[in-house]
Amino acid sequence: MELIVNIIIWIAYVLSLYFSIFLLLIYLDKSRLFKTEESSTIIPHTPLVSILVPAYNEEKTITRTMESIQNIDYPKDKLDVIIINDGSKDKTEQIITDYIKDKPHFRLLSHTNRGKAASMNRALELAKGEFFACLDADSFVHHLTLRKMLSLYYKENDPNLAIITPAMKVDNPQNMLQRVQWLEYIVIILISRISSQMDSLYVAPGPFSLYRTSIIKELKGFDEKNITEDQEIAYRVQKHHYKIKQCFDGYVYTTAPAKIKPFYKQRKRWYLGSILCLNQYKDMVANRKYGDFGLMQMVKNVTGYFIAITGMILVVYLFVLPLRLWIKNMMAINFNLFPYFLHRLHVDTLTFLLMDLKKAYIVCFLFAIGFFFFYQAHKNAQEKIMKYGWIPLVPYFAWYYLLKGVILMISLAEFSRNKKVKW
Amino acid sequence: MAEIEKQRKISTDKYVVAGVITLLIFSLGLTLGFILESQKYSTVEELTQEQDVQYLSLQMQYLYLNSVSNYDNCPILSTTLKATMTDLSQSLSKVVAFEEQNKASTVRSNVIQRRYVLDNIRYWLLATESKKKCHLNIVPIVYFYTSTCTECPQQGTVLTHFKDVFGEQVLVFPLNMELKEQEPMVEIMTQQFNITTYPSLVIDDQKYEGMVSKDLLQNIICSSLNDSTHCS
Repeated sequence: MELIVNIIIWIAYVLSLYFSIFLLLIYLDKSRLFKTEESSTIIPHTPLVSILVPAYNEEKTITRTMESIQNIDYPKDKLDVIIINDGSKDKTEQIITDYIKDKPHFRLLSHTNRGKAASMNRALELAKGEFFACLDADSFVHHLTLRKMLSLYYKENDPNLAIITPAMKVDNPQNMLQRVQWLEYIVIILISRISSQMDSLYVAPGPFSLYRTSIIKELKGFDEKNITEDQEIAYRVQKHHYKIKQCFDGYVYTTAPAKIKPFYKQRKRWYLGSILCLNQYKDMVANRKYGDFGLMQMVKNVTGYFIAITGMILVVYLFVLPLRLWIKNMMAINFNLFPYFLHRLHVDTLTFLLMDLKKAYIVCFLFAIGFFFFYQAHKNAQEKIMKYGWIPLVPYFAWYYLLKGVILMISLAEFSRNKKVKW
Repeated sequence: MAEIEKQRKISTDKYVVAGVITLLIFSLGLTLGFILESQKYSTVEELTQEQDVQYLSLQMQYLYLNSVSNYDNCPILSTTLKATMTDLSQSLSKVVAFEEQNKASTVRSNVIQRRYVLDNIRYWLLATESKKKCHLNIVPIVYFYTSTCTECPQQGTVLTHFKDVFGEQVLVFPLNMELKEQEPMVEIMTQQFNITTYPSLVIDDQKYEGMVSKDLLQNIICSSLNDSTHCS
């Protein structure tokens, strides 16, 4: 048993080391570009752009969302904003009607509640723009983002480029949980930027991804049965060999859950959605036909679950069980720790030599690469690591990934249970 | 469907380079591991040699004491005994704990463990003898344990606690009962004290079977010591 656990742990170590080094290689290969690149805001034409805003009980934030659209630096007559009231039970509809009264480029679409994907599909039928973006009612777009994205479309000049994804940041994080997520999103921006270089993006974030309308219509819109339609559409685009690129400085600000329960709900939906998408598109895994996306990204996504589970087992083995034993031992001496600290806290060469150095060695490498990316990610997103002080860094590095791991495990369990029921 | 199916890029060079780097880091780690491993054993070797000399010296002092019957030697003996014991428990016990946990039954780790058990037994003999002869103010405790018994970690913690509190006055001699088959001396001790359960303690020829709690052990130690600032 011990041997099997050990072998599994070593495989996970090697795999995560390999993936990190691979990511690092791509980063180093493009580091000149990453440091100097800057999105242009100059565009040759101003095509008509539709912006779809699905809203369900969003009375608190919808005004600010619409305001951020109103403030976009773009000719108003070239904007076609469709707000979809998806059967809200609060004052959302009233607020929207009041706001768009004197704005002809805004439209309101109201129907009984049918879900986000269905709302967007309905709006997509009416959308006239050559490009369209969705903006969740809890998110706000920077006024230059649209220009930067369109400029990237013209720069790439590739009719197969189907989606441009934004760089998402957490909007005005107030508490610890939001600040930790703020750090996480910053890192994701860089990781996505690297993936973008490999044509390997597999999520088109709900807030303000800019789609080429013709391609999405050709692919028959969003999957209304999927719980994470923004992932599914990205996988589908990849499957049909269309391209997804990231606009690394096209910022969108989104509201991150402030409490653990909505956080848990959101993450479970995401993770369960990822598992379902991966399962749906498993034929792309390690498939040469899909280039780096199939050979690296898909393989990485699948092995990610293995690594996460192993990581959790490792944490239990290395921390939880020893901690339980330690507490039990300390209970035997009524937690009288003073003599212990007085006599046992000296470290010599032998103590060092007796540690599990082989595993510590790999962990050191992983942490070093992790810190490197963490540092570069903040430079990349033009933010300071200590913007909200050093305190959020502690939970971020200490237990945030553990929390995510737990939610991932629950999602995996749910997935396998449902699958069994279906069979 | 887009028309680019055939030319989707595969960065083969990067896959290979990443693999090579991973392999390099790995083999570097393996090499380092071997170096540190041998470093560890040579450190252990040095420690045991030191212990040997210490023991020889102690034995000589004891013999001398016996033959000349000069009671002025008692304080010297007591100091050396306590100092040596502290050394033994602080250095080698770590190594032994590591080897027990690792469960790697290599010849080398076996020898280390047996060595440690024998050291403990002979120091215990010496300590009991010199306590009688010199009326040293010490409590020798023999601690019978196995690495799998459930209450042993707690018993170990309690013993360590008293070693920390009483310093050189409490001498603990741990004997790993798993070595019974390999080391006849351990078997002899087990038979002599008729040890059947773990953990068990032997303090001043008195046997205590099962976990001895902190309060009880405090009483036992204090009744065995003539005086101590920690007993009130």
